[in-house]
Amino acid sequence: MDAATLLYQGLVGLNVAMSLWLVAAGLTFAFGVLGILNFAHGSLYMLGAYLGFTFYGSLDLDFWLALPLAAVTVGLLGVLLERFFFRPIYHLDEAYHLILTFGFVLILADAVRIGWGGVFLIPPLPSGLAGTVRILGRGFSVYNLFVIAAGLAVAVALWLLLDRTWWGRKVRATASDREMASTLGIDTHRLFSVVFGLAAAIAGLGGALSIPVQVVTPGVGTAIIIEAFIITVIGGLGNLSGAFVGALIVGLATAYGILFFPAIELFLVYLIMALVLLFRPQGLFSGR
Amino acid sequence: MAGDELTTLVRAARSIRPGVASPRTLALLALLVALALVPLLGTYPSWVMSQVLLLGLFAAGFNLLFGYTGLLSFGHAGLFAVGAYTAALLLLAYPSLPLAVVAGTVAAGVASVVIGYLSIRHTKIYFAMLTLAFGMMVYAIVFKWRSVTGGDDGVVGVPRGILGVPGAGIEFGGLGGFYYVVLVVTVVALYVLWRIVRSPLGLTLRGLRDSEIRVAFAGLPVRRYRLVSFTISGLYAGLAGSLTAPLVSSATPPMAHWISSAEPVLATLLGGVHAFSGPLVGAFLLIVLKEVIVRFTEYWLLVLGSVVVLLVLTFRGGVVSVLAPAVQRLWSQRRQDG
Amino acid sequence: MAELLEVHGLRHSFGDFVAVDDLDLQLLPQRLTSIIGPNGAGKTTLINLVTGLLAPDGGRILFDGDDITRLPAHARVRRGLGRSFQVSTVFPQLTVGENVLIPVLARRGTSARAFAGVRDDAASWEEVERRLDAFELSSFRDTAAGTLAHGSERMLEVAMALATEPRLCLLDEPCAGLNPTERRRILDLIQRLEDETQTTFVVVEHDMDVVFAVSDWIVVLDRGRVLSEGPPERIRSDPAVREIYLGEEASS
Repeated sequence: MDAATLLYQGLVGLNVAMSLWLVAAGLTFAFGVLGILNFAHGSLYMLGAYLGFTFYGSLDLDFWLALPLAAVTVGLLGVLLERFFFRPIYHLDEAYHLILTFGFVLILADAVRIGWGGVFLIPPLPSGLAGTVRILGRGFSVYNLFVIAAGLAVAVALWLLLDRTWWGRKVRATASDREMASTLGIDTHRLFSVVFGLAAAIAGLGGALSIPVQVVTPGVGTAIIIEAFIITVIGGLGNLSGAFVGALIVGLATAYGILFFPAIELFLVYLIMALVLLFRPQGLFSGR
Repeated sequence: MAGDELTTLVRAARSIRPGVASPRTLALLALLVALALVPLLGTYPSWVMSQVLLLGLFAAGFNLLFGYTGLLSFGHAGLFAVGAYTAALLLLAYPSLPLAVVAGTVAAGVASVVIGYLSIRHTKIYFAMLTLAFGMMVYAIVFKWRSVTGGDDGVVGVPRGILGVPGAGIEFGGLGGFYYVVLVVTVVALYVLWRIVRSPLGLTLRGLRDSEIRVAFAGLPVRRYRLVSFTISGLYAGLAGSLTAPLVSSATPPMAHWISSAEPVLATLLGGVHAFSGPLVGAFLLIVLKEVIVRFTEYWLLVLGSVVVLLVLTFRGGVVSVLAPAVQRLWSQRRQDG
Repeated sequence: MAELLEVHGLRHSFGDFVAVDDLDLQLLPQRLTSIIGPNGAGKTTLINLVTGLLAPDGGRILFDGDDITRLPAHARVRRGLGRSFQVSTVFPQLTVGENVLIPVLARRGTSARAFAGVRDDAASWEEVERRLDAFELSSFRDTAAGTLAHGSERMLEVAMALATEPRLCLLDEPCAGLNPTERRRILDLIQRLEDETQTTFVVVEHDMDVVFAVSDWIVVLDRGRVLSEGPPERIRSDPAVREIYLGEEASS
C-alpha cells in the first residue's frame, strides 16, 4: 500500500468525520447545556434528510434554499420538543431522560414511514457540486469536499458563537451553573429552547446534506445516534471541541479500519468507546 | 400507637386461621391455573403467551438492576443474545433442551461477570453508555463472526430438542409441550427472584439505589453488590434468551442490538418500576398490545413511542401503581360490605 | 491509655488549595472530642480522609494501632470506624426501620443472604426497634425516610451511623440546620451514648456554646493544621483560638 492510498483514505475518513460531527455537535451541545442525552438526536438528523429530500428532490426547490429550510424546520421541531416534553423532566433521574427520548426515536421512525413511505432514490447532485476532482491521482467527489467544508464551517460558527458573543457567554454560564445563571437574570427557559433548537437544526442540516450521497431509511436515526454517542463519549460528555476531535478519530478509524481490519472494524469502535469510558470517563481531551 | 396494636391484632387473628388462604394467594393460584390452560386454546395463544413469559422473565431480572439497584443498562440485549446463541448452537449439535438452557444461562452469567465487573465502576449515564458499548460488542461479534454465528442471517433452523438427552427424554410434539417448559421455568425463576427481592440482599440493593454512600458506610463493599445485582439480572437475560432461541427457532443479530435492550426497559416502565409484578404486567401489555395493534395499523412503533412518552410524563409508576391501589380499595370495600 | 486513632503528617489538596496540611492528631478512647475551626479549616476533609472517602496525598492513619491508610471505606467501617454526614445520606425510599436495618444486618454479616426473608429476622428487627426507641423514631418505623421532617432525619442519620456499633464515630455537623432545642437534644443524646456505650465520639460543630458544654476535649483546626487542642476551659482562654474566632466574627 503506497503513501497516496493512505493519504487518500485519510480524506475519506475526514469526509465521514465531518458527517458524523454534524450529528455529534448538537448532541454534545444539548447535553452540555441542558443535561439531556438525547437518544432521538439521530432521528432529528433522519428527519432533516427526509425534509431535505422533499424540498430539494420532490418540490424541486433550489438546493441552497432546501438546506436551510430543512435545518430550520427541524430546529423548530426541536424547540417544541424542548418546550413541551423535556422541560417537565429535567429534574428527573437521567434514566428517564434516556427513556423519554427513546420514545421519540420510535415515534419519529414511524412518522417518517407515514410521511414518506419506504426507501428512496437518491436525488441528483446539485449542479455546482457534481463531478469529481483529481486528488492524489484519484477522483474525489466535489460534493464530499463540500460536506467537509460545511462541517468545518459549522465548527467555526459554533466556536465563534459560544466564545465570542454575549449570548455564548450566557450559554456557558448556564451550562456551568444553572441556578447561578438564573439568579443573574438569565432567562434559562428561553435559553434552553434556543440551545436545543440550534442543536436540532444542526442535526437537520447534517441530514439534509446527506441526501445526494446516501440513501435515507427510517433506520438511519438509530444507526447514526450510536456513532454520535461514541464520539460524544470520546470527546467527553458535553465537551464540544472534544466532540470535534472525537469525530475525527471515529471517522479516520472507520476509514482506516475498513482498509486494514475489515472484519473487526465494527467491534473496534465500540472497544474504543468502552476503553475511553473505563479509563478516561471525562473524555480524552479534558484537562480536568 | 393504637393503629399499630390494631394491625398486630389483625395479623395475629389471621395467623390463627390456618387453611384460609389470603386473597392474594388465591389470585395467584387462579392466575397459574389460567396460564396452565392456555395450550387448550390453541397454538396462537401458546405462542403469544410464551413470548409474554420470556419477556417477563427477562424484564423481571432486568428490573432487579434497574428498579431495585438503580442502574439502567442498555446492554442486556447482548447478554440475552449470549444465552440465545449458545443454546441455539448447542441444540443444533446435540438436541437436549435442558443442557442448552443451562449452558446458555451459564454462558450469559460468565459474560455478565466480565461485562459487569468493568461496567459497575460507573453509575448513571456512564454506566448506561458502558453497557451499551459492551452490548454492541456482542452484536459486532455475532454479526461479523460468520463462520460460527452465521453473520447477519444468524443461527437458523434451531430445533426445540427434547426434554432430557437424545435417546432418553420426552419429545415435545407441538408448541404446547414447549410452552409448559417455558411456564415451569419462568414460574420457578420468578419465585427465586421474588425470594431474592425480599431477602437482606434485596434490601441492600434497594439501599444502593437510594444512597450508595450510606451502604458503604454501613460497612458493605458497594461495587461487589452492584456486580452481584448485574450478574443475577444477566443470568435472567441469558435464561430468557436460551429459551427464546428454540421458541423462535433461530438466534439472530438484532437480538443483541441496543434497540432490543430497550424492550425490558419499556416493559418495566409500562408495568411499573417499583413493583415486583411491574415488569411481568408490562411484558404482557407490551406483547398483547402489539399483537392487537398490528392488526389495525402497521405503525406499532408510533403507538408504543407515544405510550412511553406519556408514561414518563405522567405515570412513572406504571400501570401497577395506578391499578394496585384501585384493586386494594375494591377488596377492602367488599370486605366491609360482606 | 493507648490512642484509638493516630494521624501522622496527613496531607490533602484540591488543586492548588491545601485543605489538610501535614496534620498530626491523636484521639483517646472514651473522650468526647469536638473539632472546631473556621470555614475552610479542613474539618470535613480531615473526616473524609480518616473514614476513607478521600485518599490522602501523604501521611498515615492508624486505627487501634493498625495502619488503615489504604483501606477502602467499607473495610474501615468493619473495623469499627463509623460516621455520619453533614448532608443526610438516609435511604429516602426505604422505611425508617429499613434504614436502620441495613447497617444492623451489615454488622451481623447477613446482608448478602439471598433467600432468607427480611421480615423473618426477629432478632435484627428487635435491635432496630431498640435503636429507633433511643432516637425517638419509633413512631416513624414504617414511614418512608424521605418524608421525615429535617430534625427527625438528622436523628436517623446519627442512628444509622451508630447501628454499625463503631468504636469511633465521627459525626460531621450532626446538628446542621437544627434549631437550638433540637441541637441540644441530639448532643445530650450523644453525651449519654458516650457514657453508656463503648463508642468514642468526635463531633464537628459550629455552635460554640454547645461545643464547650458537651466536649471533654476540643481540637481547633486552622488552615489544615491543628492550631490548638485541650480541655474546653483551656481552649476558651487560648489567645490564638480567640483571635481566629474573634477575627472571623469581626469580619463577618
